Amino acid sequence: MAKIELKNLTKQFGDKFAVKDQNLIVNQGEFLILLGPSGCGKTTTLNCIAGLEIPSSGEIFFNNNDVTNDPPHSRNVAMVFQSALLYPHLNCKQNILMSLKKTNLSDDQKEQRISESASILNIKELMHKKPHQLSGGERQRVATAKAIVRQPDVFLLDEPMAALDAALRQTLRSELVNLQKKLNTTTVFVTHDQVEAMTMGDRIAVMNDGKVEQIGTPIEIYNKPKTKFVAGFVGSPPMNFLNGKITNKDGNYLFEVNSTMDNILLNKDMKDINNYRTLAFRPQHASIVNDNNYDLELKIYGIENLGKELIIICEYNNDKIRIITENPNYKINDLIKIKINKNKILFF
Amino acid sequence: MYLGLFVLLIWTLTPIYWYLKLAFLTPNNINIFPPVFLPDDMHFGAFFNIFGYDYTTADNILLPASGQASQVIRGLLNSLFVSIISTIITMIVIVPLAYTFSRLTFRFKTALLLTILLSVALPPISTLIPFFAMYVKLGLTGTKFGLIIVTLTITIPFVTWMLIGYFRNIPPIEKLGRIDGYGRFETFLKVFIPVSKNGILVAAVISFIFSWNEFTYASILVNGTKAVTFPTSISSFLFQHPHPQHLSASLFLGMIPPFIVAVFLQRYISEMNIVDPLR
Repeated sequence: MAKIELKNLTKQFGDKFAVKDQNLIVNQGEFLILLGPSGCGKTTTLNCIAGLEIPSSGEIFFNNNDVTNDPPHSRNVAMVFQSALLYPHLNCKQNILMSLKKTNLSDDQKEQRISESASILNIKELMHKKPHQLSGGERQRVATAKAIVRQPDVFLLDEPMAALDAALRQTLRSELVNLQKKLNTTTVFVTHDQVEAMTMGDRIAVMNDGKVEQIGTPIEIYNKPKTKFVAGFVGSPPMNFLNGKITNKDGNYLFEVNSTMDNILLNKDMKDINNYRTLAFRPQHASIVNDNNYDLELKIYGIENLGKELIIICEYNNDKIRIITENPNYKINDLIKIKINKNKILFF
Repeated sequence: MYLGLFVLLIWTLTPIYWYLKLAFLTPNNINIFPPVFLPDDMHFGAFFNIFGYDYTTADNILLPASGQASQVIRGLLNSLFVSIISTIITMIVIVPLAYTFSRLTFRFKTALLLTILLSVALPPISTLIPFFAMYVKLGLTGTKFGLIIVTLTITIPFVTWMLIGYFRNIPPIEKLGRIDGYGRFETFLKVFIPVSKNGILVAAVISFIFSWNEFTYASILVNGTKAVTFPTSISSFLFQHPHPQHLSASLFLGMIPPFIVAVFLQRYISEMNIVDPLR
């Protein structure tokens, strides 16, 4: 178990910054998610923690020991790679054994460790199969067993489930979290899937352009996104954004949407009105109304029926606005009036 | 569809059949017109002749040994020697070379790779005269050593190109190896090479076939010397009193190694995909 600390971590490839001046603390036993779009530097950050990449500048500490220039093995990290990478020419048991090749354990101890981790992940009957004979979920379990068999201080996962189908991912998500809590190993998990991030992490670090934009618990990230990027990246269906400006008319604050000039009446307690240019609200925080007390009138562009609820996609001001409703009686090209819950809106 | 296949088969197999048939015939039978599809009195006489033995057929016709026998035997041994040594050297060079170009990033990679690949595009004949002039000065004409050097200039670029494509499709197991505590070179040696052994084997075989079949350089640099190779020794039949059965029997022998290789390795060869190496 270890606490991981990144201090001003920077990694450059040529003159391109993959990670820029990053500071991050992962607490002991924590499950931290690095979330971000592809190319945001999350995998590079993970590779630096693993020791697969040497940072251009900055430092990495494990339990206050500087490990910045240590090779991967001496850091005692275990890593699961994209699509649960295994050695293709070795069977599962040999694959797991490879994790222990460079340790000082006796053969008996190795044997015991392997059978322990195999029984934790329930893969005893797969031990003599080669990776190409395994299903996606089995590969994932074997790769996880290979990682935990070393009893690492830090457990690093690089989009391990990206190649799996949705149903399997759902099962494996809870399995992995359950295992992490049982072993209480500090874990860093990289993903671009915000559902994975929300459901698995103790905390989420949302990355963009080589930097952490916000770090916090899933609820904090969801309810109080600090930047427009975080707001747009986390949540499904995504948040709606309206560009415009806030004006003060006779003591009432109005949000005037660019180009359509529609006005939205805001609550009275507005501050810093000159700094905000974007109004944001989640799809579930607007409702369809029939009276004249509405904020926007929209034309329906598409309807996605999820069974429990429907997502109405409307075209507005060259952009899409999504509303969640339970009423199935709408059709494409219908006009609807919506009212936004002013207590839930955010400004950027 | 099938008609096309049929035409193609006829197109490729007829000349082979025609020539190989001659190996089993007596000179008299060869001259029969119209030719028979498969004559009854076939025999292995020509194969004895080209190795320097007389052969008496069932109806007591004496087929004398070929005057080229010493060249053929020497050619076979030399070809075997040159091909094996070239293949070994090729493999020692190209496995790290292809690895470097397919799995590592460094400056001027594309330019350097192009330089290597450019030599694939050069027809051997264009470098023949410079090589010859140089070899005369260095005293390398008519030596196996000189021939090996020249063979390497053909095998190395081509097989590197093949292997780059294959290496590129191997998953990033180096990372796995490094997490498991192997150094960079150890990972290459103990993890990467075992994983890619099929591709490396195919590359070795292709390199062997290329050396075995090499004719352009050998015909100029070693023909008629002690270092003569099998293909060039066959070609010297052309300038003798015509013995089509001897030429044909030699061709038959020359086809055996590539044939065995193709049959046993076609499964692996299809795994190799020669892709755009600059991708």
